Amino acid sequence: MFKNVYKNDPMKREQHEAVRKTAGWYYFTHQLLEISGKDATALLDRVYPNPIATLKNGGARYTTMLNEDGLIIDDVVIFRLEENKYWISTLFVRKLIAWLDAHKGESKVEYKNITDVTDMYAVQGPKSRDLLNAILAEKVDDQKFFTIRENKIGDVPVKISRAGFTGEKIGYEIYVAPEQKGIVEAKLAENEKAFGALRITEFQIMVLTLATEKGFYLMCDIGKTNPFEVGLDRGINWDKDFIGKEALLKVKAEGAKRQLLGFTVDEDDVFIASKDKGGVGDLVIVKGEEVGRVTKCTYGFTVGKNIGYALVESAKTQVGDTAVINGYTAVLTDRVFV
Amino acid sequence: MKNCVDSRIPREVGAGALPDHPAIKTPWEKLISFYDAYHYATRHNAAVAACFMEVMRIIIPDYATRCKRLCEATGRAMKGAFSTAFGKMHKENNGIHPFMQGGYFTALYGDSGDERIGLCGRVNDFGTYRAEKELDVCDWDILGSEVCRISTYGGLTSISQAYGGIPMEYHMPEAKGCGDLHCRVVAENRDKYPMPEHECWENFGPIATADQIKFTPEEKMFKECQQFREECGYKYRNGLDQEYTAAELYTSGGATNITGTDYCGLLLKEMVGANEIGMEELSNIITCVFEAAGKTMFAEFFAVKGLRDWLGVPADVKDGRVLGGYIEVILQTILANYTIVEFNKEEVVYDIPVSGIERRIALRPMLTTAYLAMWYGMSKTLVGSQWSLWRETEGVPEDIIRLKIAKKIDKFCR
Repeated sequence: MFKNVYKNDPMKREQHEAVRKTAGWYYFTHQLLEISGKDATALLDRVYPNPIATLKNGGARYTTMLNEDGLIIDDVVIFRLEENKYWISTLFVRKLIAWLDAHKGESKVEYKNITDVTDMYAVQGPKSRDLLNAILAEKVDDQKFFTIRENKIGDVPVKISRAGFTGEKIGYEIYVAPEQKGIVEAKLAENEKAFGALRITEFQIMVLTLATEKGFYLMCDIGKTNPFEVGLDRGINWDKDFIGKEALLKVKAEGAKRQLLGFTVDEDDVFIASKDKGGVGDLVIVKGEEVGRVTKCTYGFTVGKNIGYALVESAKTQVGDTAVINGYTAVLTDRVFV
Repeated sequence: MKNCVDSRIPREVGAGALPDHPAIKTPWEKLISFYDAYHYATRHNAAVAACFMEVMRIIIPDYATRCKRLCEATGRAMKGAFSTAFGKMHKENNGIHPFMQGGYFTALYGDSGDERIGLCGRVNDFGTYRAEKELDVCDWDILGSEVCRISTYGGLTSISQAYGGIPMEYHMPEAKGCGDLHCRVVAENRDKYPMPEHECWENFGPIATADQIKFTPEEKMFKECQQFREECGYKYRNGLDQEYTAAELYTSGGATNITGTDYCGLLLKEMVGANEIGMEELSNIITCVFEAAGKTMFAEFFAVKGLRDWLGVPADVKDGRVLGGYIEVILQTILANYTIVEFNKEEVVYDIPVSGIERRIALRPMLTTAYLAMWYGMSKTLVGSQWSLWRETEGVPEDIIRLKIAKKIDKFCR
């Protein structure tokens, strides 16, 4: 028997709970593609199923990206900085550029990978606003969710986005030039104590424990699924043409054959193979039948249990079912745990 | 020379080989599947590396000294290489996210590198301060424990140092090369998990987080890598959603890798450069080891029979073409191009670009020496003592190995 790598780790617990109870800040640079040009809006509206044209300047929107089969190949946040200028935040920029290259046709657009010149810090949790107000030139009290604004930390120009990957109602992201990130780090470190905030350093906290508790996805959860299977169909604009629409309409008519559910395991010291560590994940067995596979598995410090997601057959599973995963008893749940 | 090539397939070598064709063809139309070729390539490369490790044992007999020097030499080379654009390319190829800073993501390199060369297993833990990988199969388990130590320090700890961030120390508390059921690599950050300092080669443990090890029982172990498993869609997929097909992995290092050989070669080059050993003496040791290996490979009658069956050699072919057929299959398997100059019962001649055999510029000419000696040794037992194999150089460009198999009387045997 082995120790649970999460539950018994005080460092992980402290970092997780800082975000839930006060604030946590961390280096969280994603890949960033800047796209501009008079056809930028039209191209993005064709590439992404969620509406882009309706996005206001300074607004942001989450959307999936689909292939012609209606399957998710990326999920991104798009910031509209100006009328014809956007940032696309992704973790698969090489694939994104190749995809845009393949679909831009005669569009008058330019795009460049600005990842190397734009760092990002996440500041998340109930006290994150107070922490930011203490270091920013302009307070962010009235900044709405999924908006991005110019601001300053001392003399350093930054962009502040209200968003995050922790599920916290209050959470921000600071975009800053890499050569000035030291100033941002110093200011956050200098002020964290006053708000009980903590620097988060553990990848598993940034990416797994916080996000999973709140129903947030990784590509290991939603890659090669269709939006109906994973609950991402709600924001789709069916009044426009987009790549994958035809295939998706068929799914809409027939119903999704799979669904992404959560699961809990009461036993502490389990090992469940999941896609977030590579491969295809352990089988999920319900009533003696193989119904799907585990996409990710972690520990919910707030939930107090091992938690995860599984992509399973819709017709054979429902919330509340008991499942067996690698010999452990699990209960299928909704994806949002807290 | 008659420029006589007997009727055979494939006439145009290379065009019919991977990745354009799902199989390799012997001169007698026997197909060797992509699946078999992939496995053959990894085991062959491991066997060559095993011989190079014997070379190393002759030159540095003391185990601790040998391991330390191999670890240090490989570590220097890896750290240097991964501090350049080469390291950035690897990050991109593995889908490492920009916010991932620290030695832990090297564990992903280890994972993808393992699966690429047939070392199937699973990642059990992947975090900033601890990572754990468990391997079920390792073709390199015939090399001995040195290679486990070198790959752990040189291939993991050193590469992770090249990237900076929160550091990790990689250990291998279990190793198939030592007879364990699994290989197990555990990476730990020493600030979080303190342990006494040790020499770089002393990396079999103990580790601080032994109580977190997740052990897979034998009945649940994998026999094949993701790219050969149906449930994986015949693709390797890492935890950051980077996918590669078997064909992509085969042609991007799966078949051509010389893991183990390169570890030894890097130190041998350093030793030659520092005049610790002369190139002539080194070549003599390599020749002795590989010639013996070649002779031994077909010394038993059943080994000859097995090879003939595998290649589909007709019963009446009992000459240099048998060895030629074997060499062609090896060359196709490791994706080395070659041209058939002669292929008849009197003589077999190939032109092989040096790069196809050497595969690492820094190691030249060690692999050429090794293969020539090994194939020469094989000629004596696979075909017969009247037969020989040698490199012809007259009128041949330096970057081409003209390989000749024919009868030869040589009173001095070298």
